[in-house]
Parts: sequence; structure tokens; C-alpha cells
Amino acid sequence: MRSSLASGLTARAANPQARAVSKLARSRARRASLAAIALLYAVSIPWYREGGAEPGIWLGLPDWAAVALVCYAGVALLNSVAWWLAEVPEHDGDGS
Amino acid sequence: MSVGALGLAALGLYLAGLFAVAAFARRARRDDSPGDHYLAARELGVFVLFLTLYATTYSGNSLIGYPGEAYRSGFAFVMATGFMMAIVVFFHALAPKLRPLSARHGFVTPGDFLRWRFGAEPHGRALRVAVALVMIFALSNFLFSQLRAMGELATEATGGLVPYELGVVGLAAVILFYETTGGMRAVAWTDAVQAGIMFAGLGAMIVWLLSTPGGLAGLSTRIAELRPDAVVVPGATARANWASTILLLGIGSTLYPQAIQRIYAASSSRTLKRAFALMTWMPLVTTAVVTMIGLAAITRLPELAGVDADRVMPALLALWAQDGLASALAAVVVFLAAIAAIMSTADSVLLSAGSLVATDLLDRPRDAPATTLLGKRAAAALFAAMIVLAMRRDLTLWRITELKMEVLVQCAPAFLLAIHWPGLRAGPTLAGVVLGSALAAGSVLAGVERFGGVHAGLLALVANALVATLGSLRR
Repeated sequence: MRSSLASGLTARAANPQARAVSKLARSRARRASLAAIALLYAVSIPWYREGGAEPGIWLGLPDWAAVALVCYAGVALLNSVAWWLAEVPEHDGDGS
Repeated sequence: MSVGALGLAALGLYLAGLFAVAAFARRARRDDSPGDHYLAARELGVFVLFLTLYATTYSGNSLIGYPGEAYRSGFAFVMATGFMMAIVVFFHALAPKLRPLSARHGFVTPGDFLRWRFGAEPHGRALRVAVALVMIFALSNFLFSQLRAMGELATEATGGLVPYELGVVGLAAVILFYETTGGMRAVAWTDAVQAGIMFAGLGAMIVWLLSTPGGLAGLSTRIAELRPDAVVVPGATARANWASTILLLGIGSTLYPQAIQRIYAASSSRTLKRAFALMTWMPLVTTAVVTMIGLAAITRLPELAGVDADRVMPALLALWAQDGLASALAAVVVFLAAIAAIMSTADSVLLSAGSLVATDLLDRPRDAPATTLLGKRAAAALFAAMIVLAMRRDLTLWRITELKMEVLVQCAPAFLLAIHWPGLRAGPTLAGVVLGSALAAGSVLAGVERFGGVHAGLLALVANALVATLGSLRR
């Protein structure tokens, strides 16, 4: 099982067309992650509540502060995924 | 043993450890070239790169200033977790393109990118000098504030046994010693030690603070009783300021020369990606923690409300140290963590400042040992000037310090726009940097720091980017 998976990955790495498709998919997934991060940042700020309103308690914090921290935890997760997916060639001009 | 004597002994041990690390770094150097001195021969692995990025990003302000601000602002300061995370997000706009360029062309300073990108254009050299001046101004401010905080903390940590002046000069001398003898290797390795102390100190402190009856919910309820303004939903201006701060710090911090040089210093692209992937989690375990420390202080030290809230952290630690020997030891570790945070930022700033003066400002060759020597001398001279300023505790330069990020962010088009848009030209970019810096500095010095919650520096950046873009489009 493990050796067939490894040989499949090796075959894909050797196939330029499959590599290009994989690169495109990674690039799209990274862009989607960055868009989701922007959305989470927008939601983290309590635009949706009236200023000066008294909050309830959620996760031990005022609800709007808890929402912000949950958003930032989401940003951390998506951002680490985005860095994992990022194409950073070793040298300028590298195709890899 | 008194808390002061305990602090003095711990400080002595810590400094001895730094000397030992610097000696190892000195032995590990290959030659006297700027590439080896400023970038550790581009061999930083994931672990050290991550820790040096972490220790450099989180300064004394993060450990001392942020709890004070959380104490003042209340839960609205959860924004700090967002803006510290934004730094690692905005690096997506710079690092993936800059890293391969730096590896191919052997960049050492931020100006090397500008030389490569605009070098042949008529205003290329002027743009490089303007950007170097803005960056050196920002670094000098940063250095000044770190020195001040270092002196204050050394006094606090030793119960007054080390006077402020001795704290500033003594710790500055230690930094200067290991920075000039070991270069980036010494700075990065000592940063790793300092990051470890910061983790230990903050971990111990949050456990102590949250061990209150009712846990986090109990703490929030108690804060709501004592300070209702600290828990209510922020108003429109505060929300605009929240968004503005995320943008200002996110963009501005990616332009710190010491951060850019760490992109160059990574041993490989894979290393850099992994270090950033780890860095993105750090605000949750550092900034969120210091924010909670500041908020918890509202219930433990409500009497501080009318005085300078920046003293929240030292006051809490003094309170904690009274609980017994174990608590006193833990409090000393937190004090050391704060000193470590300050020193790790100051050393990186100093290293970058030297390289900027020698290479970008004075245009010396980036591969000559004489450039390294000149950079060391420039760093020492700048450091000495800041030490003299920091001796005056009554000197109010905080407004100029506030200018740091508002002015630094004006370099954004020269890097973030230039790396993505080949059409950007040196002349309009230079005009944008000059206009943006003048607008930002003018607004802050005139006392108009924000417009409806939005930072003047951010609005100046919009004008700056417009001038650079429209000027480049005009042929």
C-alpha cells in the first residue's frame, strides 16, 4: 500500500502535465485560503454590533471578543495552510 | 534571599549565557564578509529562523506595553492578536518573490533589492537613499524605546540594585559585544535562548493569573463589574481604528529591515515557509496571553486605573513575588523574559542599522570585509547616540517614537508594489515616499494622529501609492 502510494507520487512528480495541474490546484487553494483570511479579518471586527452594547459571555469572554479570537485562530490555521501551499522557488527563474 | 538579589543573580546568569553563545557564534563564523556577518552565511535552519523571527518580532513593547494597553482599552485590545498575525499574512505579498531573488543575486540589505529593481533608472540611487533614511529613522526610534525599557526593567528586576543608567549602559554593552563579535549568528542564537525564556515566563504567568475562582468567565464577569467600559462593544471610531491598526502594522512590519534580512538568511525556501507557518500561531500564545494578563490586572490591581497603566506588568509581578519563593522565582523568570524580549529586538535592529548605513546609505560594496567593519562602527555610533538620549529619563520622545510605523509604512510601494509590477518607476516611487513621509510626520507632529480612527500614516500611504502608480503610468 505504502510502496504503491510512493510509486504513484513518484510517477506524478515525473509527469510534467500532472505536476502543472497539481501546481495550479495548489495556487488556487492558496488564493482561496488568503481570501478566507481576509473575510475572517472583516468578521473579527464587531461591525455587526451596536457600539456600547452590553455583551453576553461566550467561551468565558465577552461574545464579540470571543468571536474575534475564534476568527484569529481560523486565520492562524488558514495562514499556515497558505504558507504550506506557497510556491517559493529556491532561485529566481526556477520553475519548481 | 531578597527578590532583588534573586533578580540580580538571575540577570548575571543570563548575561553569562549570552556571552557563551556569542563565543560559540564567533567560532562558527567563516569569514568577515557582510554576507557571513549580517546573514549568517544564509544558513539559518527552521528552528533557529523561527525563534529569531519570533524573538525579534515580539519586543519589550509586546511584553510591557501591550498589557498596559489592554488594561486601559479592555477587551477591545484583542485586536493586538489580529495585528500581530497580520504581519505573517502580509509577508505573502513579499517573501515568495523576494526570497528567490535574494538567493540568486546575493542580497544582503533591503537596498540591494532596490538596486536590482531600480538601479539603472535615473532616480534609482536617490530612492535607495530615501528608503534607507526612512528605515534608519524607524530603527533609531525602535532602538531608543528598547534602551529605555531595558533600563527600567533592569531596575525593576533587581529591586533597584541595578540603577537605570547602569541597566541601559551595561545591557547595551552586552548587546554591542555579541552583535559585533558574532554578527547574525550570535543574534539568532541568542534570540533562540531569549525566545525560550519568553515562552517559560509567559506560560508560568498565565497559569497563575487564570487560577482564579470561576476561571475565564469569572474573570470576565468581575471585569464587567469593575470596569463596564472594558467589556462593552467598541464604538464606530474604535472599530475603524481596529481595522486601520491591522493594516498599518501588517504592512509596516513586513518592511522592517531586520525582518527582510531574515528572509535572505533562511537556508532554503522550504525553511522559510515552515518558519512562517509556525510564526502564524505565535500571536495566539503570546499576544493573546499578554492581553489576558493586562485584563486580569484590572481585577487584581484596580487602583492602577488612574495612574500610568504601562506599569501593570511590573506591579503584577511584584504582587506575584510576594506569594513565596516559588512565585518569586517565577516572577524573576518573567522579568528576564521581558529583558530578553527587549534585547533580542534591540540586537536585530542594531545589526540591520549597521548594514543599512554601510551598504545602502554609503554605497559600499556588499561583499567586502571593510564594509562589515564600517557597518559595525556605524552601528556602534548609532547605539551610542541612542544611549545618550536614553540617559535622559525625562526626555519626552514618545511622540517621535509613535512616528516609527507611520513613516516606515511609506516604503511599501518601493517593495510590495515594485516586486509585483514591473511598470513601477523610480522617480514617481521616490516622490511618493517623500510625500507620504512628509504627510505622516506632519500629521503626527501636528497632533492629528487619526482621522475617524484611521491612522494618518495609512492615509498618507494611499497618497504615496497613488503618486507612485499614476506617475509610473504617465509616459
